Amino acid sequence: MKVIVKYFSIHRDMTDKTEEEVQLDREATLKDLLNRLIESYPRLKDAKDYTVISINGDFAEEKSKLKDGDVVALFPPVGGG
Amino acid sequence: MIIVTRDDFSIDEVIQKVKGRDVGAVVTFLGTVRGESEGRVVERMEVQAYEEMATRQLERIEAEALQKFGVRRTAIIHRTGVLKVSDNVVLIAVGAAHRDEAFKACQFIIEELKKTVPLWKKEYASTGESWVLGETHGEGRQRPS
Repeated sequence: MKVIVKYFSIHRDMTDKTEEEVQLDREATLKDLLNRLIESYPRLKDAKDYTVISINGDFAEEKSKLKDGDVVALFPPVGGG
Repeated sequence: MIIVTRDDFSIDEVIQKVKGRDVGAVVTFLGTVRGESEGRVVERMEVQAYEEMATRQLERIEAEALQKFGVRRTAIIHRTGVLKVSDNVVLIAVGAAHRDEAFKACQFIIEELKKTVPLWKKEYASTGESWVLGETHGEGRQRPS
């Protein structure tokens, strides 16, 4: 399956990407995706403790399952206002 | 009313949106770009948003404020892009029958916005640029030390 991964703030700087498509096994979880991304962008490993993740616009946890076409976003704690 | 936009806004026009025959109190909160941060002189600020998710989160906050405090109407506008010192960043306006619920709802909205809406600010100071990280994302995760 394919998912879209979006990056914001520090995570955008670390990956130098705004978004990309990632191919995963059919039963992949968010944790599998994160491991894949850390292989591609080792700096993400250092940011793991403060990485916030959403799936299709809802806050998500590592154990969450993914499905084809999901939009995943990685970013640091939010700070608008 | 919820707007995430690069454009500036008219405070008077937004206030008009929350007024009405059923409103006797309007409370507003206006956030602006501060020219100082932790002892550094800030020259400008960039606001980045995950717009689709930000809009959804703001809709949730608005619905909760209306239900929880019984206020009549709310308006939330947050700007994105590069902003100068003193530029408007965020405006919250709450129209209610009485002041007490208007004040409470306005404070609730800005606090929830800061915790759960995917927006990030980058400050450009004379000493360099840096992201301003939030305390949590609404579920207790802390900022890096």
